[in-house]
Amino acid sequence: MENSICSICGKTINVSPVQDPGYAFSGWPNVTLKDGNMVCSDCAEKVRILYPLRSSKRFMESETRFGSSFIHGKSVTGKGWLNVLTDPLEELTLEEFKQAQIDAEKAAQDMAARLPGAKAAAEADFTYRHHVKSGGTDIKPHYSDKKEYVVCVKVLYGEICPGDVVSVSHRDREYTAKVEEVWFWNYLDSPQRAIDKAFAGTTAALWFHQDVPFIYPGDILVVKES
Amino acid sequence: MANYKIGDTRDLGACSACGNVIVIEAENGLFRPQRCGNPVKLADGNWLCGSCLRKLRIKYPQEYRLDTKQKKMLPYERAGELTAEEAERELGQIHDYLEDLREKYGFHQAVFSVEKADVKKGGLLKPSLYTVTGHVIYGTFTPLDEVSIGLNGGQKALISCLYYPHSITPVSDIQIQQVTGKLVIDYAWAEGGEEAAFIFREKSLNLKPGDIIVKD
Repeated sequence: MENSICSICGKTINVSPVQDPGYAFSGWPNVTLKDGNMVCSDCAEKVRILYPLRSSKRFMESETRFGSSFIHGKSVTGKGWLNVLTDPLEELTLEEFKQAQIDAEKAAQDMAARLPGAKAAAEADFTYRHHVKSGGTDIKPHYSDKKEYVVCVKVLYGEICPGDVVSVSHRDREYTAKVEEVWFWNYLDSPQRAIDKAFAGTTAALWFHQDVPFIYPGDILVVKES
Repeated sequence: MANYKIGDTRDLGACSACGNVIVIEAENGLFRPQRCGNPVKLADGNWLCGSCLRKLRIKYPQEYRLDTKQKKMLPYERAGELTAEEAERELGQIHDYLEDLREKYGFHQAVFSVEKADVKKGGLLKPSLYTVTGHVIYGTFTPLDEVSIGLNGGQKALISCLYYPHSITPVSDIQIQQVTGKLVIDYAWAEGGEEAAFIFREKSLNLKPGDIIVKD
C-alpha cells in the first residue's frame, strides 16, 4: 500500500496496489488522471454531476483452461461479456479537472435554480418489489412478507441519504415516502450494495419499507430543505 | 485477482433524448437484465435508451407481434416508429399525459385494461386459475398486489404472479407452486404501456375483455 497526495485538496490517498479492471463496486474510487496526478474520491464526487461513472459491457476471456473464473462478482466459464464501470475522469488532465470543478459548480447552481426549496432531487427510472431467495438445494425466489420496494433513480442534485423523506407531486396531491436504505446501482445490474449516500450524477437504488405506487418512471423525487 | 484477458468495450452511442450511454453486445443481445429496459432503434437510426423508452410506453404501448422467423409472439415497441426529434418532443409532454391519464381514471395509482380472460377450473378444494391478459395503462403492478375490479371499488383480488402474455402453454398450478425463477423474477413487475398476463387464484372472478383492474 503506497500513499499519494490529492492534487486538489492535498489529502493523503491510500493507493491499493492492484485494481481489478472488472471490479465490482467497492466504494467511490480515487482517480488517477491522464497526466498521472491523483484526485481523492471526495474531490471527484463534486464533479460527478457532469462526469458520472459509466457502465459498459466489456468482453472478458478467462485464462483458466478448465472450470471458471470469478470475475466482477460473476462466475465466467471461458469468455463472456461483463458489466464494468468506467470512469470518464481518467481521461482528464489536472487542468481539465480544475475546469470541470468550475463547470460542475455551475451545473449544480443551475439545477438548484430549477428546483427551488429542494435539498436533493432524483429522477425515477423504475420500481420493483424486492424478492428474497430461500431454500436449500432448490432455491426458490419469493417475496418477503415485509413490503420492501426499490426505486432505481438517477440523482440530479444534492445528496440522498437513508432517513430522507422524498416527495412526489402529482395533480391530485403530493405523496411522501421515507428512504430506508440507499444502494449503489450501476444501471445495468441489480443494485449491488448499501452506501452512505447517493450524490448528484450517480445512479442509485432507494429502498422503501412501504408500497410506493405513486412513483412513475420519469417522476422527480425531491428531498425538501428542512 | 482473476486471470483473464480484456477484450473491447462496445458502446452503441448515446441516447438521442437524454444522452445516456447505451451499451450493446455484438449481436444486439442483452443490455440490461431483469426487465430493466433495453434501448430501441428509432425510425431515423438513432437510439433511445431503456429509461426514456419506459417513459414513452404509456403513450406508445408495447405490442406483441408474431415473428414469422421464430414463429412466436415477440414484443414490438411502437415508440421505435418515432424519429429522435419526435421522441424528444414527446418526452417533454409525457408527464402531462400521465397526469391526464391519472385524472381520467380517478387518480388510481395503477390501471390495467383486460383484453382476454382465461379460466382453468379448480377442484372441490382448489381455487380456479385465472389468466388475465391485457395492457398496463399506467403505474406498476407486482405479484401479491391487491387489486380491485372496476374503477369504483368492485371485487378485490390478489395477483398470484405475472406471466408471459402470449404463452403457448397456459400456466399451471404446479408451475406457480414450484415458482421457478422465471415466473417470479423475469416477470417481477409490469409497468405502464407493457402487455402482461396476471394470474389470479380465486374461487370466482367476474372478468371480461374491456374491464379495468386498478391498484391503490
